Amino acid sequence: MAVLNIENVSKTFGETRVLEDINIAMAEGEFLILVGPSGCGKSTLLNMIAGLETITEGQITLDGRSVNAASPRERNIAMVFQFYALYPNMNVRRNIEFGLKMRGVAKKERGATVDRVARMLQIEDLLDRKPAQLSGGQRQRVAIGRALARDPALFLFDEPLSNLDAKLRVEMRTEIKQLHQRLATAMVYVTHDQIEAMTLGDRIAVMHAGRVQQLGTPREIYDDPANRYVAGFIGSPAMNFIECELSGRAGDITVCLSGSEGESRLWLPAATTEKLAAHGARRVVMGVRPEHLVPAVAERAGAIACRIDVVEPTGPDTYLHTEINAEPVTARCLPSAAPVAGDTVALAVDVERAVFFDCDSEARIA
Amino acid sequence: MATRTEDGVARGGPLARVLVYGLLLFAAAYFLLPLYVMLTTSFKTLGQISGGNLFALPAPFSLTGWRDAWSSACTGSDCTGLQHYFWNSVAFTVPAVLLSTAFGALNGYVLTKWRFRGSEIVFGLLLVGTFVPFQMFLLPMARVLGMIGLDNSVAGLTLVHTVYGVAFTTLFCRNYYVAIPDELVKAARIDGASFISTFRYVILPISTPILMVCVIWQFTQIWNDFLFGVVFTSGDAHPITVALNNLVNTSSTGVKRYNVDMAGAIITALPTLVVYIVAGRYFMRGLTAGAVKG
Ligand SMILES: Nc1ncnc2c1ncn2[C@@H]1O[C@H](COP(=O)(O)OP(=O)(O)O)[C@@H](O)[C@H]1O
Ligand SMILES: [Mg+2]
Repeated sequence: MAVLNIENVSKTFGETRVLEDINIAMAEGEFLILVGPSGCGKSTLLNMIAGLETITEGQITLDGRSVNAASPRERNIAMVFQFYALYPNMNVRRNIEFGLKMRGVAKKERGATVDRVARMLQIEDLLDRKPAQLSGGQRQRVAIGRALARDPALFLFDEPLSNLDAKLRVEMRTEIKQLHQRLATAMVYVTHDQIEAMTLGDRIAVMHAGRVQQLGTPREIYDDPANRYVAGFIGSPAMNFIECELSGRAGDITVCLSGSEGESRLWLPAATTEKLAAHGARRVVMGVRPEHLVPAVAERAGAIACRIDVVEPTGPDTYLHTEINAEPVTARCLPSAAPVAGDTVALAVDVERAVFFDCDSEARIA
Repeated sequence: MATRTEDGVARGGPLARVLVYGLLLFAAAYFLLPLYVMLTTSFKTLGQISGGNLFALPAPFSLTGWRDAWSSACTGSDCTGLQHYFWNSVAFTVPAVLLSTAFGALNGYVLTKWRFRGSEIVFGLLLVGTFVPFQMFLLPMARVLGMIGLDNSVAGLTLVHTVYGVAFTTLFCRNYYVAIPDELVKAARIDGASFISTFRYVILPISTPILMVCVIWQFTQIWNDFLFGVVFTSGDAHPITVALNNLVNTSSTGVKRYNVDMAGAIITALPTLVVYIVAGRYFMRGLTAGAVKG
């Protein structure tokens, strides 16, 4: 049975439609990511699950029970906020046990829970401090501890790491993942950071403009994006989008790509050509991830001669910036084989991995 | 000539400095001298006052003025000093300060953290309340007090001051609570706290500075009020400010007893002074705290 079931949910604030027909079902123990740009409605959806916002249309069920009319207190959930939201007047111990106290748990039992949670998060020596005396990382740990104390059926996280510096963020990310593996409790995690989304999630819901654009595993989202928006949002550096002309007909479709120093014609795989033929458009947008646009191993048919404008070493990989069909693209190469800016390099496209989108609707064609 | 100093602020030479300090001393004296005269006069005998120098120290040192002002001076036909009226003022000031502060805090909490449809309008209307001059209140309030049977009573004055003060305390508290992150209240709701427990356990404990501002402001306004007191009460129910006025204007012997007047004035001013000293260090902190994100 689904821990959380969101059915046809919409939300309007006054006149503005913020969420449109959201449908998500979450399995027991699942780690679900809501990812999308700022303002796309992630927090609003999370708040609706928590009971902090009303549901305009549709239904949300927790453990099979509709909670549309239930207060946050009546839902078996806990939440971690972006700005920690620790009670500044209470020390760490009282922060963690506040939820238990509000639910009438006896003092002795509360103490035992605080000790268990503190041990789990290694914050035992902070218990008597006030939030103001803690670092950002420690505060977030305490905020997580406050959520853990209640032992809820569902955890909600609203961008819990976005206030931490880069290094701490990566550490905490790993810790949250370990925590999830240990507790095996379902979690909904909101972030605008696609790397957090890819690394943490069992499944990812990519949101944009109030809609779920795609819901799937990280692999599905990455390899098989549902539309151009998802393809461009997930992945860093971002996928290259090249507008191009198709020629030929079903079973024998080619695409013409021209670099600054020469052009070349690529034969597309059979599965792709079938879908392209069925769709019928002549002008399409081809999507190629940087790792599928690499310097050709040898003088190979189909390689595109490009003059490299900028070379960008990142350590494990080096990225090359150039143009194809007059659009800026990024290619990837090994640092040991990196050219210098101004060189001409023959770039090969892995057509098996290329995806195609409609020019206007941006929907996936093939 | 201006010279650079360590802290980078250019200061004048010795002459400019003498001028600045001179001006400051003059300003201090300007405000302190009347207080000095009041204090010394209150401890003088009538004989020394009529014959002596305004700035001389009391000789002999006499408590007669204070004793009379407190317990035997005449305020109109009644000759029992200010003590009865002092307790009158205490009797409506303390509850009115506490009530208006409590309501202001609750209003501010609702207006910022439990917004409802039209809450901005409610706040706007309350804000108008801070601009309405005292005088406009008098007639309608007198009618209302009469209708509910609270005219000429300490309870009536308590009500008037509470109602009038709520507009101010709400404004103060709202502006303070606006700066408190909403997430704090959301966290409390998730933790299962009710409307009241969220206020009691989360909001109230971090409100001390602004509550102090409300208390000082309200205490000063209410204790020092003359107009409401003189209009809504008479005789026995007068507040101390009205009684002081009567005391100064009543002279059975035809001789102005300045020592009694001064002692009476100091007795009347003393409670506000005490409140400032006790709660004052929170006052500035409270007024500026709203500007800093919690
Ligand atoms: N209480 C509210 N009243 C009106 N509009 C709101 C309210 N809360 C959020 N919004 C709007 O809803 C949209 C989604 O907000 P939010 O869910 O916070 O986005 P995200 O968390 O994805 O950044 C934004 O355009 C925001 O301006
Ligand atoms: Mg958000």
